[in-house]
Amino acid sequence: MAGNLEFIKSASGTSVSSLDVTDCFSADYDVYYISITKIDQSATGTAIRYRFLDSSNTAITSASYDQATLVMKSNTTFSESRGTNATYGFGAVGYGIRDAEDGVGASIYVYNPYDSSSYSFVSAQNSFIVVAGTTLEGYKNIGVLKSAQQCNGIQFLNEAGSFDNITVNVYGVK
Amino acid sequence: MPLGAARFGLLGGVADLGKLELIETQTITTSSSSIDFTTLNESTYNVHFVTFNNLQHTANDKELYLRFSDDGGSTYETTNYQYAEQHCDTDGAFGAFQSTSAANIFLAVNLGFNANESGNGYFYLYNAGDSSKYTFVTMHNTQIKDLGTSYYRSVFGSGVYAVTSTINAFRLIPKPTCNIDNAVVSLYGIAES
Repeated sequence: MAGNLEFIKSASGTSVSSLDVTDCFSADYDVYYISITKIDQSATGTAIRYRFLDSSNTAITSASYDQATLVMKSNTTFSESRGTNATYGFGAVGYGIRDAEDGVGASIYVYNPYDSSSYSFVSAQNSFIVVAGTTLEGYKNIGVLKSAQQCNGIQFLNEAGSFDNITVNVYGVK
Repeated sequence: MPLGAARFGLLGGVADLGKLELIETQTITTSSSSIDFTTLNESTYNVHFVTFNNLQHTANDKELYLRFSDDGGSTYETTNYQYAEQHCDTDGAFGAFQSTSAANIFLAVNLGFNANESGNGYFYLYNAGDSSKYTFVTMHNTQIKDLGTSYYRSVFGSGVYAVTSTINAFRLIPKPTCNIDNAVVSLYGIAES
């Protein structure tokens, strides 16, 4: 059977502090593609984070997330964001996304999340308008959960405040 | 039913071909001033995926631009773009391309035109069909640059057409003015169900 992207599920939330996309990872795939085009944050200037969900769909909050991000802005010098052993992942989606007309485009690849003998890896690229102005910002991001455990899903959460709206689509890559 | 999305069980056992649904492929073999895609099915897809490979210009050291249209390809917008892109070159030159007020988004920069000096890559379009949102782009290419040296380059980054509108066509166009000799460009929609 021919394969490419196989739609698994879509998850949405309105006025939520976080969005859990449960049971979106399985033994059927090693690689997943996540697209996000609709996010409105209630608080300005806050980061969008993620956590993997364990085999019970409970968020993994251990200090086991590393990330490295190239922050590319249309109006100033590019910069780097990096961190080790954090309790959340960062950089896959964006930061301080204005609501109304601005929106976001994020493509996230997740590798080996369901493999209990492997870390779960992330590579991502996004494009958004930052809340503090009207300038474009985009990230090239990598991340990892340094815990060899089965992950059944992923959670998106805010640094502060909530999501007025959020929609996440998950695909398996065949 | 979207192109390529045959459902198992509804059509007597035909396999589901997946949600990366091919809309159109254009193969350029004669000199062309631009490559236009005027059917995006933007009311169906929030996310589009475009690949280009073996793209060669008719002149050396030119850029490949991306521009959008909201009138079906009758005209293409030349204002209100922003981009922020990183280039990584094998001659050691890493740096930024960025603009808050541009006439286009870059897909390739300083592209060579000799044999095998092609541009290749992909980009995603987000929210093209949403008239209440800007249209965003993420891109990544791999190319040979020729400023007399044929070094290898990669460019990745993001862009935006910062006007709320329904984008229903896009154009790949080389600048400063030259033509495209060869290219294969494929447009896909990513279905959400």
